[in-house]
Amino acid sequence: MSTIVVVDDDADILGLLEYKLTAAGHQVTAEADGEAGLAAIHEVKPDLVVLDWMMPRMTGIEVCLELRKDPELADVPVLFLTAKAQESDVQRGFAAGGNDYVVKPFSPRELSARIDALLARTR
Amino acid sequence: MSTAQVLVIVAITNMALIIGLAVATALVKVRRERKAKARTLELGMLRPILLSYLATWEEGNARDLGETLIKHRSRATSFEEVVAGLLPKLRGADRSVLVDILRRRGTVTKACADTKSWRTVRRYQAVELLGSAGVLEGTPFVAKLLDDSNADVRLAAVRALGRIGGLEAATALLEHLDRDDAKIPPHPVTMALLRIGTDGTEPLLIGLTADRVNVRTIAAEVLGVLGIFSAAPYLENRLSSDLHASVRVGAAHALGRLGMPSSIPVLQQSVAREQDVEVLTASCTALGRIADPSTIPTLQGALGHQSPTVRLAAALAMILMGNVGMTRLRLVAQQDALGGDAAREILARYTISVGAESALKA
Amino acid sequence: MHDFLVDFVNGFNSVVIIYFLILNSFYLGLVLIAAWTTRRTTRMPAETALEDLFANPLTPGVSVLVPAYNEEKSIVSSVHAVLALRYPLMEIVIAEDGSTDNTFEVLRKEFDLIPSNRIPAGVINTVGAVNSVHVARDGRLVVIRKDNARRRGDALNVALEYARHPLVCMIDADSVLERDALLHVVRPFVDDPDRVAASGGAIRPINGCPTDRGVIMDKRAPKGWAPRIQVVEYLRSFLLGRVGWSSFNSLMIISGAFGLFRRDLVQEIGGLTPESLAEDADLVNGLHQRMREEKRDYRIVFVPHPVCWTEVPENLKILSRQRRRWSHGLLQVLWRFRRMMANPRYGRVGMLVLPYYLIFELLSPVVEILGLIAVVAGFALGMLNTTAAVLYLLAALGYGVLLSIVAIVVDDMTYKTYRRWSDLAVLVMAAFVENLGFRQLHAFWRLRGLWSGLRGSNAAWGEMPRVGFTAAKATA
Repeated sequence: MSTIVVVDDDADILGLLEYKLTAAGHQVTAEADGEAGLAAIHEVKPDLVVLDWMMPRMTGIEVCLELRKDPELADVPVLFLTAKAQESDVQRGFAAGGNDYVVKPFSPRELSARIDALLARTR
Repeated sequence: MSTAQVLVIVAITNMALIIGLAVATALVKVRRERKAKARTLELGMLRPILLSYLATWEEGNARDLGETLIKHRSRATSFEEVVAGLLPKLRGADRSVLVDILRRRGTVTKACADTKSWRTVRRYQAVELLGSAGVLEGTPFVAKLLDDSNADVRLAAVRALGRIGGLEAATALLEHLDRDDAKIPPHPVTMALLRIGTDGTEPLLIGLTADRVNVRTIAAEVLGVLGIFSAAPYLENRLSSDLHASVRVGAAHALGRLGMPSSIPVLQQSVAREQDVEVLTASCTALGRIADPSTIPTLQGALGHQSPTVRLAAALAMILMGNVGMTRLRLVAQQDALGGDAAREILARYTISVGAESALKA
Repeated sequence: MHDFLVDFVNGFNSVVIIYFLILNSFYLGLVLIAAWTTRRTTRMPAETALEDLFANPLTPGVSVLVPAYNEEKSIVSSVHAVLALRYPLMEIVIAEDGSTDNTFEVLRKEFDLIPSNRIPAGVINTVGAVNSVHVARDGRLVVIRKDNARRRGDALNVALEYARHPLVCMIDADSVLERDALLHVVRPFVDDPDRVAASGGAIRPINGCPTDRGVIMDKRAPKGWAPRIQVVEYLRSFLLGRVGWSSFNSLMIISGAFGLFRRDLVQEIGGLTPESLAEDADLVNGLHQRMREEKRDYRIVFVPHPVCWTEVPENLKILSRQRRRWSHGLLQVLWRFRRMMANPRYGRVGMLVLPYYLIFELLSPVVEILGLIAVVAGFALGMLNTTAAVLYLLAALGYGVLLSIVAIVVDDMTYKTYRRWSDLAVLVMAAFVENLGFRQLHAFWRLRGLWSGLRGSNAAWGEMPRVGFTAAKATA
């Protein structure tokens, strides 16, 4: 059982991921904007973060960069889940410290598989 | 009637209208707020069921949830509304599961029937739903609406065909565009074809030799973006022999994207002989994408062209050839002749050696 | 003699009343058309269209033109706000207009500017000399340093000369745009590429709306009465007026605060007119004139979806200056395009729109003030029929209130902008206040603007103190 923080300003996706990951046995914290997400990450110290990119207040890229500055959180796997699909965007996501990058529209099944793989790797 | 009497009538009507409007609006607002509350309540009940279903259907013990969703009778809100928000964001098995529920509720059949409604808004909404659901059986109904009397409905039909996908959809789009009385604009069609992807290869290849310039251009651009290598010889043919510049531009773009060395001779010929500035620029850019140093001399020739856009494109292409190109470019940059300016600007922008791909972003 | 005066005063009053009845009835017609169009458009949501527009690699690029004069404090955040807009392909072209502060330095540092050899298109004559051209290393920004020519239009023209994309967007530096704003206004071009020449978005006052880093958090009615009245005005004229005009291709103004144009067409008509005080109206009419003279099939479209929020004057003093400038500008525009007036060659624009603007917009303050004087004089001289006076108030002014309320209602039904009952109530009150006192004051300001226009329209430019871009930022 792992703790996961999900940050996405889309209520539908946020709800879907919360349900799905909880049903899979994880402990999920869901936040709807970058700032709140970062605060939650600092508080919860999760095993994995699912991060949207385009959000109000603070973008996913900014959150990830902030994360990586904190020595305690520098190793937390980050999975980007975003509609930004250009090659350059993917590059930027990884450059900011992301561990995986899934483009929207996405397959929840595939996402689960990727999350499981990331969690397995860091155990 | 005297002026005074007219004025009295006008004034009273005026006051009555103002008061009437205010009261009517207030009533409507109250009713709407009540409906919104009921809607939120119903949504609050539906969403968890839906999300739970999506979370657990794979395990196989979600049948009850599924049945609830299928049998749900909408009151304040519609199940379709809830699903409509989710569908465009998902892919894969989970999405098929949702669409399946819609089918079993009869939504899809109803939407197909609604495409024939006399009410514009209903036709529009039906088309959007069929597009979101992406159900192949909707293709003929949606394709019919490419001829709709309302422009917004026609555009929605184009977008929906893109989301539904499949060979039929691509054929319908290109066939429709290839008519004298085509009522759909090229740009949304391009996007739809891009969404359909390689399923549309056949109609796209046919489109390369269509009668209308529009169609040929779009076909060329889309084939390039989709990366359909088998199209290369046909595109080369278009670049060298099509009479219309826009088609040649499309072909050059596509050949650049496909990046096949076999296209080099045709592209070089284009750079050497073309009169049209746009085609020239596109061909230079294409050579840059293929990045074969043997093309440097040709590009250097283009560096001296009178159009600044061509010079810039040639310089950019040269820098993508790596060290050989850059050295040559630096030589040109030191001269005052035509081409020096382009060389200098490109060199200034890319003095830090960047990967070829990100350089092309410019 | 006395009888004659009485007849004259009463007759004059009748004329005034009829004038306002015609004006308001015509406006009501426009409003009803607009209400119908707007409701229909919102029941056909745009999400998938905007989605496709954003994802399409062939979506036309937009060059955002920004004239900048002494904006060192705000220019960086303004540029970032535009860069944050959701649009796949854009560049920002800044014409740094001979600033005396550190505007350029600030830009250079923030965006890593290097010298560029980009050359101008060479199509439009510009006044202020261009000194140097710079690009950001990642190509998103182009900055042109030029000499100040005391005209915003000249800076825009210079920016236009260096723009690269097929569509150019003109914005006020301090407008707040919604994230999908560009997608909304580009859509008409993409859906009808052969005909659409320009598109404009709806402007709303941002006063009173809490914002956080350039994003509007909540839509509230402003606190002062001056901005409240302007909210109602903007609803009436943008939401309804312009949608109505646009529906029969007679849009005369695309606000300088947010407009999108085809670059090639703007270049064809020689760019903007730098001397104009209403360069936005000037540009649109220039397009109308050229298109109609060449008998080209075209459309100038208004996008009703609220996309642009701008700061409006908070106090009457600055508001008065703005309105005077608008009146002056309108006179200039009508004078410059007088050839089109009542000329069937120019279709609806010549036969309907320009005469309307002349009679019912430019000259309405004249009628209003004279009517007021006549009523007051009539009272004073005891010649006036009290009933008629009261009825004049009800008919002319009450009708005005009705229109404003319709505007508020339509906005509420369609966009639900102001959620709270209290905000709506405040706006309704503003509609009343607008007609009792503000309107007359407004007419007086416009009269002054008209007068300075008549005096100054042939005189040198230097006479009118350039209120310029700073006026838009006017807060107390």
